Amino acid sequence: METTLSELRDGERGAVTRLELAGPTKRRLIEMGITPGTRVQAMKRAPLGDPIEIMLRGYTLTLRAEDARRIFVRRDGA
Amino acid sequence: MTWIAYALAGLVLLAAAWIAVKGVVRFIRTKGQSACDSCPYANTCGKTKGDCK
Amino acid sequence: MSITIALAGNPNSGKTTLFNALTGSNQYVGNWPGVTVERKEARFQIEGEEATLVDLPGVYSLSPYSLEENITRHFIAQHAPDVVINIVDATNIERNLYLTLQLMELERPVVVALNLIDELERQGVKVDCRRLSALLGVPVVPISAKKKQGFDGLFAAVYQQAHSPVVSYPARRYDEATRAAINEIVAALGGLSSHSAFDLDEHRAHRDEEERDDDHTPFAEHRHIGGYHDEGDRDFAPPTTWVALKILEGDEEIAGAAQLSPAQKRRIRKAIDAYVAHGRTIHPGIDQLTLVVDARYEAIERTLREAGFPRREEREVSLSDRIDRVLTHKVLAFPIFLLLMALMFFLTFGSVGSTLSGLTEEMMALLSDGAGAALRAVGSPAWIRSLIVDGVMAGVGGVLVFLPQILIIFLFMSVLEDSGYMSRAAFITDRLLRKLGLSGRSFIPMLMGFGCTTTAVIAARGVENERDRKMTILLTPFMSCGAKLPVYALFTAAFFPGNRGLCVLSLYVLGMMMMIAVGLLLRKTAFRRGDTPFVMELPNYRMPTVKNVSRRLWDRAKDFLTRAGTVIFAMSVVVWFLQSFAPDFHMVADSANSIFGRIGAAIAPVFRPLGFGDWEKSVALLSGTIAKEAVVSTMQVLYSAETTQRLGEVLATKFTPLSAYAFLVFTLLYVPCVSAIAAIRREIGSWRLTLLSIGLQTGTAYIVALIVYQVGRLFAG
Repeated sequence: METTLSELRDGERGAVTRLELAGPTKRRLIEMGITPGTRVQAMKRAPLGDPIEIMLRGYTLTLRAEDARRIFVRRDGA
Repeated sequence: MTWIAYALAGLVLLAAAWIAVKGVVRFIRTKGQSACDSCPYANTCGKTKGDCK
Repeated sequence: MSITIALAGNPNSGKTTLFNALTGSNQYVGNWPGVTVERKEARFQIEGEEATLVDLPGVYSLSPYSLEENITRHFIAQHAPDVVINIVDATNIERNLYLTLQLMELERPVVVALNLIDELERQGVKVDCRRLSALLGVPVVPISAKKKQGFDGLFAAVYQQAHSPVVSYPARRYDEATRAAINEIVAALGGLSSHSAFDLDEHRAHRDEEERDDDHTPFAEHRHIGGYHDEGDRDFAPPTTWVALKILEGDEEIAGAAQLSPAQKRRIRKAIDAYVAHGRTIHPGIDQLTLVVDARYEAIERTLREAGFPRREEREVSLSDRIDRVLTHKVLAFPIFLLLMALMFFLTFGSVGSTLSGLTEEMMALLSDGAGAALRAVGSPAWIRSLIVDGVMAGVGGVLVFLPQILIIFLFMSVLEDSGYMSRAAFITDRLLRKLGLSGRSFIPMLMGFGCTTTAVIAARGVENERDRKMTILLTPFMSCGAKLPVYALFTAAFFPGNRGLCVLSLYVLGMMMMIAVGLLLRKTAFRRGDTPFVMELPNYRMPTVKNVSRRLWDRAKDFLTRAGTVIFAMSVVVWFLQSFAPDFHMVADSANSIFGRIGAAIAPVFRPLGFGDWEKSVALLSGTIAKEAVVSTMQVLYSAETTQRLGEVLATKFTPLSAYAFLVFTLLYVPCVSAIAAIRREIGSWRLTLLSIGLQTGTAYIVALIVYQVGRLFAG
């Protein structure tokens, strides 16, 4: 079952399947390591749910909820 | 003894004039950058630390 | 023969620390040609040889989209340094190595300086640098930039790379499909030895015509360009493999500049289509860029695995995370932030701060009385006594008394910053700033605006999008700067003794509200939405060291004293002169007839509807354009008040609490000091926008102060 990065609860893990972004944002995010197959873990989110912090490739990254909504992941165990 | 007073006044006026003129000239030449060199409020002003990135 | 060494690395990897450690204070700081990105260069000796170290901007990659990446890319490809030191943060090694691979792809000799090794070992990870080095194909030297360890090894490696370079070809380690695609494109380009020395300049001119930004400032043009003219540039002759990789990625600039024939283009197109089709059998819908990026990361993962690096997939909840759970909590985060700010103001302007100020004041009063007595004793004429006591000592002293309070507020801010809380603040406020179309990245410069508008304006360079940067610059003056603190302290002590902290907080909040209002207005009218990819890292919380904080505080105190002793001193003398002498240069008894008095009388009527229409007040505000503290020192001189306490008493007769508050509001919002204006002009690049900023500040100040006063009168009267 596919879901989006923004839907992962704090602490949940999953693997990236695809990104529905474009342009500089997409480039920046994939170069930071968010590529298909990458394992991610949701860490925390700011008040109002935006931005959110995730862990991937051994480091933490903060990104916007609107971008996270367009990054699709498969939940662990799903 | 009044000469002390005059000397002091002269010193003050001279110092003020020198600071003023030098300050203004430096300011114009560096386009304002010189003001930050010894500014207590400024973090770094882009001199040595990379904070002003 | 001096060797050129480039220093490249991710932001926050310790690059600046390393640069400073290697070069000490003999740095030359300038700008990259044509743009306002700072360029640092220094000379030093390496194994007895002359070397120039050039600090490149912190980047995550070498894509052509951001200014910093373009500069780095250009410097390495065109300026061709002898060695590239790539500083890599060992605690974040996977992502850092992404840049390493890109640097290696440019086929210049690289040395990897693996920083923060001690951190990693503290987490129980053993690093085998030799193995990693063998697998990557470049020297890997463990260092600690902060502790200055490992430099000998680093120098040795750099020296060796400069004289007997070993270049590695990372593409050889990418997956088969990628390698095949690259080989095919290389063949289409004419083989490995055909360095198509294409002219990036030509491409640049072509680009300029097509992609005109709306503003024609030089800065805007250069943002789109991949090439810069720099001394030491050679012909742009990049390795063919690199060109092939860029084409495979879909880099339009390189593809365009390579001047391909239709036949070549067809062949390349076929190779790319095949590559993508193959990739899609594993990941449906993937594109060429993602495939190449993935190829690099896959190579990194493999390398790290073979080198024995454990994959940090699990992360136990660290202390930082637990703290963050509270500090960035959905509901609690904002109130906590406000509370911290309120605490800061309370300490500064309330009991602690004012007690310390009081002490300083008494000292100043003693000095001043002593000086007066001494001068009288030597029979000094009245005008000299006036100059020294009522001019210099009053003016400078009036500002000096606030040193304790300024230090308190800076102590607070230093601790917040060093501990890492400030990044959280940016994290929290991002959503709000987004309503203005800005991002959390604009928050840091704005926060610095609480110290000094000038620094904040310069710090706005960190905002990638040009439009957003300009808007950030226009909005930072609404953040009350540090030099205004003496004004606040003085007035709140005189008029709102029970609620000083609260009063100042209200001013800061008002400033921020105005910033939001003006920001929204600007968004609607002049500045359309920018497309800012927002990514940020939240560093771990750290315990600020007493040593660092106290050193910084000491530096600030010294600077403050210097500033008081020079700028304020000179200003006080000038003010004394202007208020003692009439336009025909003879002394006057009543300062209302002096030069200043005349100027003030001309301006004052403007301020009458705001409640402070006296010439002294107008002139004081005017002097605030040189330095905001001068508002205090000028009034001290003009009202012939020898001590701050006396000034407070005098002011109590010249203002009502309402007009005092209106005055404070005006001070909060009006035009910043000349150095800030100069910085705005420098950073924003046009006089038109600078004048807009001045007009914006003064206009807002006037209107808001007017409203405050008039509405207040309705309630009171």
